[in-house]
Amino acid sequence: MADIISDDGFPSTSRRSNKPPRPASSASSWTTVPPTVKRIFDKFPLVTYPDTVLPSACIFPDQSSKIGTAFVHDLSNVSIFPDSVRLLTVLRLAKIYDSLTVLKASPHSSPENGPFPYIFLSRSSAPSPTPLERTLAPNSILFYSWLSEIPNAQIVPYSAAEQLPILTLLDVRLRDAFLLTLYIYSSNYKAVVLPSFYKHINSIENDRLSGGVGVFPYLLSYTQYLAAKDTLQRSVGTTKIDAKFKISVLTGAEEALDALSDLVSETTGFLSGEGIPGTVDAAVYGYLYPSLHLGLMDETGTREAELVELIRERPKLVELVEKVNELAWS
Amino acid sequence: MAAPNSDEARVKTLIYEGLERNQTLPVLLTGVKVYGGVHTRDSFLKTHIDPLLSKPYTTATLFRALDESSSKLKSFGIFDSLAYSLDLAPSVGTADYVPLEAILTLQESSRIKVKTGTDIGNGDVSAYATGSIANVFGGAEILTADAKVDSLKQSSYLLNYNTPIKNSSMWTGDITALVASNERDWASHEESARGLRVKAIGPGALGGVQEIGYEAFWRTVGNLPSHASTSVRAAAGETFKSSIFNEWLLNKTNSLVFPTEGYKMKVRTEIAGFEPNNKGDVQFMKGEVDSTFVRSFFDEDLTVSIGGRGGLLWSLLSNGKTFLPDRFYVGGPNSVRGFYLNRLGPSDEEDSIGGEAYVAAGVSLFTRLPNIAKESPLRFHLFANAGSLLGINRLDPQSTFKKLIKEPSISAGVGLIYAHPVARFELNFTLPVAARASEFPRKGFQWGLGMSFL
Repeated sequence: MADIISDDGFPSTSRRSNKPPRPASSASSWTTVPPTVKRIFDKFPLVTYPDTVLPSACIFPDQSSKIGTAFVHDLSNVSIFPDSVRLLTVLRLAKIYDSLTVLKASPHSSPENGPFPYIFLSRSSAPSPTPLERTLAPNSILFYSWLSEIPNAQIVPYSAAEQLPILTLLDVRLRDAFLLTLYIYSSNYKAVVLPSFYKHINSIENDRLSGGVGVFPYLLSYTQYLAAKDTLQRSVGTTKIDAKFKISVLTGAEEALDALSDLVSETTGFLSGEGIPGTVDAAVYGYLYPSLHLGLMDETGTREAELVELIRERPKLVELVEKVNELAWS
Repeated sequence: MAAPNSDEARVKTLIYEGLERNQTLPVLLTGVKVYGGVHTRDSFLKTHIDPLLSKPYTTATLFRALDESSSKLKSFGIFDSLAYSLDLAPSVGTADYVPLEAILTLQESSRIKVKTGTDIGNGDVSAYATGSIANVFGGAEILTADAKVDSLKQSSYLLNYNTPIKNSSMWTGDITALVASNERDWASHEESARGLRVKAIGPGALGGVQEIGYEAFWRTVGNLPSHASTSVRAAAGETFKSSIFNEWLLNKTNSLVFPTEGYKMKVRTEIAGFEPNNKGDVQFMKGEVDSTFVRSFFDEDLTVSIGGRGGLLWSLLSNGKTFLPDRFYVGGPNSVRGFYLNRLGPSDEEDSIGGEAYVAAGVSLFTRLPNIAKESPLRFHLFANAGSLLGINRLDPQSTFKKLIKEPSISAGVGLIYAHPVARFELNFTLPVAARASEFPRKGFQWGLGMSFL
């Protein structure tokens, strides 16, 4: 408690600090607090009230038995956010979903433009109290190593050599087709994305909303649309979104789906090649299940759903999705 | 030099004697001639001049009316100088009244003001630019644009339009468009807000000032550092607040910076949840009271100041959720001294996440310093502060209110204050006496700067 008499803007008590200790200052003798005075000062505050009343609906995982918090876009597997579906599926397959507080959250919850969705371990559960080691991004080595140490996890651990090419296919080609289908096709955007944002806000913040469409979901979905468009343009390498652009994206997706379909094990029906799904199966599920169930292919046939057709044309992939769904979500 | 002074005095005496003799003389103001004020709209001036005309006056009541008119026009702040003078009207008077004509000479203030600059602080460099156009449409409207950016990525851009309502000197309309982002170090995030505030400012009850308005802000809690706690991460994101508010301020103190006599009271209420077709994702009722009573003794050798504040934030959402930007934050040199800035109340790890109900009170004694001139703005300061900030237990709100009163965090200390005309500086030695385990007390020196202290 050497810094108890301080004026530097930091809390004087170090009981909960996880910041690196500040270097000791080379204080001259006249600034040194005499020991007697310091002893008296150390007695303050004389009274410490033990408890406080927390604001309503606040999340304090460290005060519960949970091992951490998973910050995701959506709790459902029929979501416009495949990354969240992927992480939730991994957590469910690994049987640790209930050990975590799973929160619908905003990408702003990720510090310093870090990954989203992600897991933030509670201090007591983390291997190290430093914030970086408490943050687990779904595709990080730290995450897979943490996952591999979970006992009785019904999921095949990640193997970089085998799975990296598959994940690359997913996170570029299939992602592009997913973004194209949802955001660039205006009929899908209006029918699927906008209601999804409205429902998202409605369910997170307010169950008193009744009827009407607010301005705010529009603003949020529009920023998401801009981000999706930007990602697509960067990925394809052109700013002009025309028929050629769409063909290029869908052809890429078709090739990716073909490759994935070929890789599905004939005996087990999983990409992991084993009797239980792997993290890569969860990743495939993250894109394919929402694509099949978001309602992109409606009865009137007014929506553009080439991606759904491409998936349905590959029964091995459809079967994989159903199997993972049964194991993780049923 | 004696002659001119005595001449001037003699002329003044003659005028006063003349006025004294004629103060009951019936007069009629037949017209007002205006000189100057080329940028001021005729309709605006007519609103203030027309009521003076065609009324029966005596000399004394006419002077009073011109004085009042002059004060009203001055209050708009668009004239550097403004003077009425009187002359006999060219028309022939009736037997009952002496016809007079008023001459209003206006000298307008500079309409366009631009100010730029840089501030250098502790590891932080900021640049600002402010520009304003006064009397934009000739009716005392003021358009202000303000931009500030700094090296810590904080920024604010503001466009404000202020106008008298129906040319009134009593009611003002004010529209502000704002884009700003600010670090909230005590809760590890940056808060950005873009939106609009519209308000009317006018006379309030008991001689106070009333503000009634509407605001709509899109807020983002983001740019979290890696050490942000779970509850701050969970609270990050976008919210849209649409609210109406009312503020009443009664200030009867003798100084804004360092009052030695008088009292001040402010009450603010806000209700959020007014999005068109939709109540919005932020719904709450909020009330806050701030009061100060100051009294001096022994020719201001001793000044006693007693202050109290309180606030309540009640979520209207069924889950009772409140958001970081809406909560109360207490603690620091301007509220409960002896605690770090905004670090009273609930916390998660290193983050003080604010509360939904608070009370804070303070008693300060100020004395002059020995062997220092009476006019010196330097004072010795002895204080005691107490305050509580809590979330509300919605199942049993009374228990929260009891806890607020029964278990206040307390601090005391001594120090020096310097009452500069622009702001008050304080350097105090603080000692927290009682605190909650979740709070961040500080012992030792604490300095403060501002206009409002507890």
